[in-house]
Amino acid sequence: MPGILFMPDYKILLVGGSGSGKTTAIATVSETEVVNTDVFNTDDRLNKEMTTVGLDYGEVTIPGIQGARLRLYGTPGQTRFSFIWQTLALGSSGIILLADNSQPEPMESLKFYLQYFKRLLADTDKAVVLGVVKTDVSPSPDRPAWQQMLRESGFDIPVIIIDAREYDSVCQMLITLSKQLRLSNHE
Amino acid sequence: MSKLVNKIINLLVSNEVQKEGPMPLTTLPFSVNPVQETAIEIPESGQSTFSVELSADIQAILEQTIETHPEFENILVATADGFDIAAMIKDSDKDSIRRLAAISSSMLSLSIEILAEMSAGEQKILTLEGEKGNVFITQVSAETFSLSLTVITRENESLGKFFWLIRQLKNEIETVCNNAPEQGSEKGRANE
Repeated sequence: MPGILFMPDYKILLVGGSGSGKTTAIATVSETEVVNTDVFNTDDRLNKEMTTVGLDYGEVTIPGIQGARLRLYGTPGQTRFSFIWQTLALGSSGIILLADNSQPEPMESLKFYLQYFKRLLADTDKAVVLGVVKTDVSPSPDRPAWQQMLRESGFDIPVIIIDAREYDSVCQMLITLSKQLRLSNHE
Repeated sequence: MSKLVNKIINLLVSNEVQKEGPMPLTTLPFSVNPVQETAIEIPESGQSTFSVELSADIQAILEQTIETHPEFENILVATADGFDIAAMIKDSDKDSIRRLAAISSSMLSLSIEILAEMSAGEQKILTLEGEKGNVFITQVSAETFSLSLTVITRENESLGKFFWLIRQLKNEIETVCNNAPEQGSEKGRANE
Protein backbone atom coordinates (compact mmCIF):
# COMPACT_ATOMS: atom_id res chain seq x y z
CA MET A 1 0.00 0.00 0.00
CA PRO A 2 1.53 3.35 -0.95
CA GLY A 3 2.42 5.80 1.82
CA ILE A 4 0.61 9.07 2.19
CA LEU A 5 2.53 12.35 2.11
CA PHE A 6 1.03 14.71 4.63
CA MET A 7 1.22 18.36 3.58
CA PRO A 8 1.03 21.15 6.12
CA ASP A 9 -2.57 22.13 6.59
CA TYR A 10 -4.84 24.22 8.74
CA LYS A 11 -8.19 23.38 10.21
CA ILE A 12 -10.61 26.23 9.65
CA LEU A 13 -14.03 26.36 11.31
CA LEU A 14 -16.95 28.13 9.61
CA VAL A 15 -19.45 29.46 12.11
CA GLY A 16 -22.68 31.40 11.69
CA GLY A 17 -26.44 31.23 11.70
CA SER A 18 -28.54 29.09 9.42
CA GLY A 19 -28.50 30.55 5.90
CA SER A 20 -25.27 32.49 6.37
CA GLY A 21 -23.57 30.61 3.54
CA LYS A 22 -21.30 28.13 5.32
CA THR A 23 -22.27 25.14 3.17
CA THR A 24 -22.29 27.24 -0.02
CA ALA A 25 -18.89 28.81 0.66
CA ILE A 26 -17.27 25.43 1.21
CA ALA A 27 -18.88 23.95 -1.91
CA THR A 28 -17.80 26.99 -3.93
CA VAL A 29 -14.06 26.68 -3.25
CA SER A 30 -13.44 23.07 -2.26
CA GLU A 31 -10.99 21.24 -4.51
CA THR A 32 -12.13 17.88 -3.16
CA GLU A 33 -15.54 16.27 -3.10
CA VAL A 34 -17.46 17.98 -0.33
CA VAL A 35 -18.72 16.04 2.66
CA ASN A 36 -22.25 17.25 3.04
CA THR A 37 -24.85 16.35 5.66
CA ASP A 38 -27.70 18.48 4.37
CA VAL A 39 -31.21 17.15 4.82
CA PHE A 40 -34.63 18.54 4.04
CA ASN A 41 -35.57 21.38 6.32
CA THR A 42 -38.97 21.10 8.01
CA ASP A 43 -38.81 24.49 9.74
CA ASP A 44 -40.69 27.02 7.60
CA ARG A 45 -39.20 29.94 9.48
CA LEU A 46 -35.81 29.26 7.93
CA ASN A 47 -37.03 29.83 4.37
CA LYS A 48 -34.63 27.27 2.91
CA GLU A 49 -35.07 23.81 1.48
CA MET A 50 -32.03 22.07 2.92
CA THR A 51 -30.19 22.41 6.21
CA THR A 52 -26.95 21.02 7.63
CA VAL A 53 -27.31 18.63 10.58
CA GLY A 54 -23.79 17.20 10.95
CA LEU A 55 -20.96 19.05 9.29
CA ASP A 56 -19.68 20.23 5.94
CA TYR A 57 -16.13 19.48 4.91
CA GLY A 58 -13.99 20.60 2.00
CA GLU A 59 -10.34 21.32 1.23
CA VAL A 60 -8.68 24.16 -0.64
CA THR A 61 -5.13 25.35 -1.24
CA ILE A 62 -4.61 29.07 -1.04
CA PRO A 63 -1.93 30.86 -3.10
CA GLY A 64 0.79 32.27 -0.90
CA ILE A 65 0.96 29.54 1.75
CA GLN A 66 3.26 27.30 -0.34
CA GLY A 67 1.08 24.26 -0.83
CA ALA A 68 -0.53 24.43 2.55
CA ARG A 69 -4.08 23.29 2.59
CA LEU A 70 -7.08 24.70 4.38
CA ARG A 71 -9.42 22.04 5.74
CA LEU A 72 -12.79 23.74 5.96
CA TYR A 73 -15.27 22.50 8.58
CA GLY A 74 -18.75 23.96 8.37
CA THR A 75 -20.87 23.81 11.51
CA PRO A 76 -24.63 23.28 11.50
CA GLY A 77 -26.07 26.73 12.11
CA GLN A 78 -29.19 25.93 14.09
CA THR A 79 -28.69 26.12 17.84
CA ARG A 80 -30.17 22.68 18.51
CA PHE A 81 -26.95 21.34 16.96
CA SER A 82 -24.74 23.41 19.26
CA PHE A 83 -23.60 20.20 20.97
CA ILE A 84 -21.26 19.60 18.02
CA TRP A 85 -19.77 23.10 17.73
CA GLN A 86 -17.08 22.80 20.37
CA THR A 87 -16.09 19.33 19.19
CA LEU A 88 -15.62 20.63 15.65
CA ALA A 89 -13.61 23.57 17.01
CA LEU A 90 -10.96 21.32 18.55
CA GLY A 91 -7.57 21.83 16.92
CA SER A 92 -8.72 24.64 14.66
CA SER A 93 -6.21 27.23 13.47
CA GLY A 94 -8.79 29.71 12.30
CA ILE A 95 -12.41 30.70 12.50
CA ILE A 96 -14.53 32.19 9.76
CA LEU A 97 -17.58 33.94 11.13
CA LEU A 98 -20.37 34.39 8.63
CA ALA A 99 -23.23 36.84 9.01
CA ASP A 100 -26.40 37.00 6.91
CA ASN A 101 -27.26 40.65 6.22
CA SER A 102 -30.74 39.72 5.01
CA GLN A 103 -31.80 38.62 8.51
CA PRO A 104 -33.98 41.04 10.51
CA GLU A 105 -31.29 41.54 13.16
CA PRO A 106 -28.00 40.25 11.72
CA MET A 107 -25.82 41.85 14.38
CA GLU A 108 -27.78 40.32 17.23
CA SER A 109 -27.45 36.92 15.58
CA LEU A 110 -23.68 37.32 15.24
CA LYS A 111 -23.35 38.54 18.83
CA PHE A 112 -24.60 35.14 19.99
CA TYR A 113 -21.75 33.40 18.15
CA LEU A 114 -19.23 35.98 19.37
CA GLN A 115 -20.29 35.22 22.91
CA TYR A 116 -20.39 31.47 22.41
CA PHE A 117 -16.91 31.31 20.87
CA LYS A 118 -15.53 34.16 22.95
CA ARG A 119 -12.52 32.29 24.31
CA LEU A 120 -11.55 30.84 20.96
CA LEU A 121 -11.89 34.21 19.25
CA ALA A 122 -9.74 35.86 21.91
CA ASP A 123 -6.94 33.33 21.31
CA THR A 124 -4.25 35.35 19.54
CA ASP A 125 -2.98 32.21 17.78
CA LYS A 126 -6.31 31.84 15.99
CA ALA A 127 -6.88 33.51 12.65
CA VAL A 128 -10.35 35.07 12.49
CA VAL A 129 -12.32 36.84 9.80
CA LEU A 130 -15.95 37.95 9.48
CA GLY A 131 -17.61 37.44 6.11
CA VAL A 132 -20.89 39.25 5.54
CA VAL A 133 -23.21 37.72 2.94
CA LYS A 134 -26.38 38.82 1.11
CA THR A 135 -25.50 42.50 1.13
CA ASP A 136 -27.13 42.59 -2.33
CA VAL A 137 -30.43 41.79 -0.60
CA SER A 138 -29.81 44.10 2.34
CA PRO A 139 -26.90 46.58 2.13
CA SER A 140 -27.28 47.60 5.75
CA PRO A 141 -25.46 47.20 8.10
CA ASP A 142 -22.51 48.18 5.95
CA ARG A 143 -18.88 47.21 6.52
CA PRO A 144 -17.99 50.16 8.82
CA ALA A 145 -21.05 49.36 10.95
CA TRP A 146 -19.94 45.75 11.33
CA GLN A 147 -16.39 46.87 12.20
CA GLN A 148 -17.75 49.24 14.81
CA MET A 149 -19.94 46.54 16.33
CA LEU A 150 -16.96 44.19 16.58
CA ARG A 151 -14.78 46.87 18.18
CA GLU A 152 -17.50 47.70 20.68
CA SER A 153 -17.77 43.98 21.47
CA GLY A 154 -14.03 43.86 22.11
CA PHE A 155 -12.92 42.06 18.94
CA ASP A 156 -10.37 43.15 16.36
CA ILE A 157 -11.54 41.09 13.40
CA PRO A 158 -11.26 41.92 9.67
CA VAL A 159 -14.62 42.29 7.93
CA ILE A 160 -15.15 41.28 4.30
CA ILE A 161 -18.29 41.56 2.23
CA ILE A 162 -18.60 38.33 0.24
CA ASP A 163 -20.85 36.37 -2.08
CA ALA A 164 -20.61 32.76 -0.90
CA ARG A 165 -21.55 31.58 -4.41
CA GLU A 166 -18.58 33.31 -6.07
CA TYR A 167 -15.20 31.56 -6.08
CA ASP A 168 -13.11 34.76 -6.18
CA SER A 169 -15.14 36.30 -3.39
CA VAL A 170 -14.76 33.35 -1.02
CA CYS A 171 -11.06 33.04 -1.95
CA GLN A 172 -10.52 36.68 -1.04
CA MET A 173 -11.88 35.94 2.41
CA LEU A 174 -9.64 32.89 2.74
CA ILE A 175 -6.59 34.89 1.66
CA THR A 176 -7.34 37.48 4.34
CA LEU A 177 -7.58 34.67 6.85
CA SER A 178 -4.42 32.97 5.57
CA LYS A 179 -2.37 36.13 6.12
CA GLN A 180 -3.18 35.81 9.80
CA LEU A 181 -2.29 32.12 9.69
CA ARG A 182 1.17 33.01 8.40
CA LEU A 183 1.59 35.63 11.09
CA SER A 184 0.52 33.37 13.89
CA ASN A 185 2.20 30.16 12.76
CA HIS A 186 5.33 31.06 10.83
CA GLU A 187 6.76 34.15 12.48
CA MET B 1 -31.59 17.24 34.69
CA SER B 2 -32.91 14.22 32.99
CA LYS B 3 -31.70 10.73 33.60
CA LEU B 4 -31.94 10.04 29.89
CA VAL B 5 -29.26 12.53 28.89
CA ASN B 6 -26.99 11.24 31.64
CA LYS B 7 -27.53 7.75 30.33
CA ILE B 8 -26.74 8.67 26.74
CA ILE B 9 -23.60 10.48 27.80
CA ASN B 10 -22.42 7.57 29.89
CA LEU B 11 -22.94 5.32 26.90
CA LEU B 12 -21.15 7.52 24.44
CA VAL B 13 -18.31 9.49 26.04
CA SER B 14 -14.93 7.93 26.75
CA ASN B 15 -13.77 6.65 30.12
CA GLU B 16 -11.05 9.30 30.12
CA VAL B 17 -13.61 12.05 29.94
CA GLN B 18 -15.70 10.48 32.67
CA LYS B 19 -12.74 10.47 35.06
CA GLU B 20 -12.95 14.25 35.13
CA GLY B 21 -16.36 14.04 36.76
CA PRO B 22 -19.88 14.56 35.56
CA MET B 23 -20.38 17.05 32.79
CA PRO B 24 -22.27 20.26 33.52
CA LEU B 25 -25.55 19.37 31.88
CA THR B 26 -26.75 22.90 32.20
CA THR B 27 -24.70 23.58 29.09
CA LEU B 28 -24.49 21.03 26.29
CA PRO B 29 -24.63 17.25 26.29
CA PHE B 30 -21.54 16.57 24.15
CA SER B 31 -19.32 19.50 25.04
CA VAL B 32 -16.66 17.44 26.74
CA ASN B 33 -13.54 19.23 25.59
CA PRO B 34 -11.31 21.86 27.15
CA VAL B 35 -12.44 24.68 24.88
CA GLN B 36 -15.90 24.74 26.46
CA GLU B 37 -16.95 28.32 26.94
CA THR B 38 -18.79 29.66 29.90
CA ALA B 39 -22.42 28.60 29.79
CA ILE B 40 -24.58 30.97 27.81
CA GLU B 41 -28.22 30.74 27.03
CA ILE B 42 -28.86 28.81 23.83
CA PRO B 43 -31.90 30.24 22.08
CA GLU B 44 -34.68 28.03 20.81
CA SER B 45 -34.05 26.58 17.39
CA GLY B 46 -37.17 26.58 15.26
CA GLN B 47 -40.15 24.29 15.01
CA SER B 48 -40.98 21.52 12.58
CA THR B 49 -43.98 21.59 10.27
CA PHE B 50 -44.19 17.80 10.30
CA SER B 51 -47.77 16.49 10.24
CA VAL B 52 -49.33 16.35 13.72
CA GLU B 53 -51.67 13.53 12.63
CA LEU B 54 -48.79 11.41 11.35
CA SER B 55 -46.82 12.11 14.53
CA ALA B 56 -49.77 10.76 16.54
CA ASP B 57 -49.87 7.61 14.41
CA ILE B 58 -46.15 7.03 14.95
CA GLN B 59 -46.55 7.71 18.67
CA ALA B 60 -49.20 4.98 18.83
CA ILE B 61 -46.77 2.54 17.19
CA LEU B 62 -44.08 3.39 19.74
CA GLU B 63 -46.49 2.92 22.64
CA GLN B 64 -47.54 -0.47 21.30
CA THR B 65 -43.89 -1.47 20.77
CA ILE B 66 -42.83 -0.57 24.31
CA GLU B 67 -45.79 -2.51 25.67
CA THR B 68 -44.96 -5.59 23.59
CA HIS B 69 -41.19 -5.36 24.01
CA PRO B 70 -40.27 -3.96 27.43
CA GLU B 71 -36.61 -4.62 26.65
CA PHE B 72 -36.85 -1.43 24.57
CA GLU B 73 -36.23 1.18 27.26
CA ASN B 74 -36.58 4.29 25.14
CA ILE B 75 -37.60 5.02 21.57
CA LEU B 76 -37.45 8.30 19.72
CA VAL B 77 -38.48 9.24 16.19
CA ALA B 78 -37.25 12.54 14.79
CA THR B 79 -37.29 14.35 11.48
CA ALA B 80 -34.12 14.17 9.40
CA ASP B 81 -33.37 17.74 10.44
CA GLY B 82 -33.51 16.90 14.13
CA PHE B 83 -36.99 17.68 15.46
CA ASP B 84 -38.62 15.10 17.74
CA ILE B 85 -42.02 13.95 16.50
CA ALA B 86 -42.75 10.89 18.69
CA ALA B 87 -41.08 9.42 21.74
CA MET B 88 -41.42 6.88 24.51
CA ILE B 89 -38.79 8.09 26.95
CA LYS B 90 -38.66 7.13 30.62
CA ASP B 91 -37.80 9.72 33.25
CA SER B 92 -37.18 12.43 30.75
CA ASP B 93 -38.05 16.02 30.09
CA LYS B 94 -38.81 17.82 26.86
CA ASP B 95 -35.37 19.44 26.71
CA SER B 96 -33.54 16.13 26.77
CA ILE B 97 -35.81 14.71 24.06
CA ARG B 98 -35.08 17.74 21.89
CA ARG B 99 -31.35 17.33 22.36
CA LEU B 100 -31.48 13.60 21.69
CA ALA B 101 -33.43 14.26 18.47
CA ALA B 102 -30.79 16.70 17.25
CA ILE B 103 -27.89 14.45 18.23
CA SER B 104 -29.50 11.40 16.61
CA SER B 105 -30.13 13.14 13.30
CA SER B 106 -26.59 14.48 13.32
CA MET B 107 -25.04 11.09 14.05
CA LEU B 108 -27.24 9.40 11.47
CA SER B 109 -26.15 11.85 8.79
CA LEU B 110 -22.48 11.41 9.70
CA SER B 111 -22.75 7.61 9.69
CA ILE B 112 -24.35 7.73 6.24
CA GLU B 113 -21.47 9.93 5.03
CA ILE B 114 -18.87 7.54 6.47
CA LEU B 115 -20.47 4.58 4.68
CA ALA B 116 -20.66 6.58 1.46
CA GLU B 117 -17.00 7.59 1.76
CA MET B 118 -16.00 3.95 2.16
CA SER B 119 -18.42 2.78 -0.57
CA ALA B 120 -19.92 0.50 2.06
CA GLY B 121 -23.47 0.76 0.80
CA GLU B 122 -26.67 1.89 2.41
CA GLN B 123 -26.80 2.54 6.13
CA LYS B 124 -28.69 -0.14 8.02
CA ILE B 125 -28.27 0.38 11.75
CA LEU B 126 -25.76 2.50 13.65
CA THR B 127 -24.93 0.64 16.86
CA LEU B 128 -23.43 2.23 19.95
CA GLU B 129 -22.47 -0.45 22.44
CA GLY B 130 -22.15 0.84 25.98
CA GLU B 131 -21.29 -0.79 29.29
CA LYS B 132 -24.84 -0.47 30.55
CA GLY B 133 -26.85 -0.67 27.39
CA ASN B 134 -26.99 -0.06 23.68
CA VAL B 135 -28.16 2.71 21.41
CA PHE B 136 -29.35 1.93 17.89
CA ILE B 137 -29.98 4.62 15.30
CA THR B 138 -31.46 3.91 11.90
CA GLN B 139 -33.06 5.75 9.05
CA VAL B 140 -36.77 5.36 8.39
CA SER B 141 -37.06 5.81 4.65
CA ALA B 142 -40.60 6.64 3.65
CA GLU B 143 -41.35 7.18 -0.03
CA THR B 144 -41.22 10.95 0.20
CA PHE B 145 -39.18 11.77 3.30
CA SER B 146 -36.91 10.22 5.89
CA LEU B 147 -36.83 10.13 9.68
CA SER B 148 -34.37 8.96 12.31
CA LEU B 149 -35.34 6.15 14.68
CA THR B 150 -33.36 5.88 17.92
CA VAL B 151 -33.80 2.91 20.24
CA ILE B 152 -32.16 2.51 23.63
CA THR B 153 -32.09 -0.96 25.13
CA ARG B 154 -31.04 -2.66 28.32
CA GLU B 155 -27.79 -4.55 28.67
CA ASN B 156 -27.45 -8.34 28.35
CA GLU B 157 -29.73 -8.77 25.39
CA SER B 158 -28.82 -10.27 22.04
CA LEU B 159 -27.86 -7.67 19.44
CA GLY B 160 -29.30 -9.88 16.70
CA LYS B 161 -32.66 -9.90 18.40
CA PHE B 162 -32.65 -6.10 18.60
CA PHE B 163 -31.63 -5.74 14.96
CA TRP B 164 -34.60 -7.87 13.95
CA LEU B 165 -37.05 -6.02 16.22
CA ILE B 166 -35.81 -2.60 15.11
CA ARG B 167 -36.20 -3.54 11.46
CA GLN B 168 -39.79 -4.63 12.19
CA LEU B 169 -40.44 -1.31 13.93
CA LYS B 170 -38.81 0.64 11.11
CA ASN B 171 -40.94 -1.18 8.51
CA GLU B 172 -44.09 -0.47 10.51
CA ILE B 173 -43.32 3.25 10.70
CA GLU B 174 -42.48 3.36 7.00
CA THR B 175 -45.82 1.75 6.15
CA VAL B 176 -47.75 4.31 8.21
CA CYS B 177 -45.78 7.16 6.64
CA ASN B 178 -46.33 5.88 3.10
CA ASN B 179 -50.08 5.56 3.67
CA ALA B 180 -50.36 9.08 5.06
CA PRO B 181 -51.29 12.15 2.98
CA GLU B 182 -48.24 13.84 1.49
CA GLN B 183 -48.22 16.75 3.91
CA GLY B 184 -44.81 17.24 5.43
CA SER B 185 -43.16 15.30 2.66
CA GLU B 186 -39.87 16.28 1.14
CA LYS B 187 -41.15 15.80 -2.41
CA GLY B 188 -44.15 17.91 -1.63
CA ARG B 189 -41.98 20.63 -0.16
CA ALA B 190 -39.49 20.41 -3.00
CA ASN B 191 -42.27 20.92 -5.52
CA GLU B 192 -43.70 23.97 -3.80
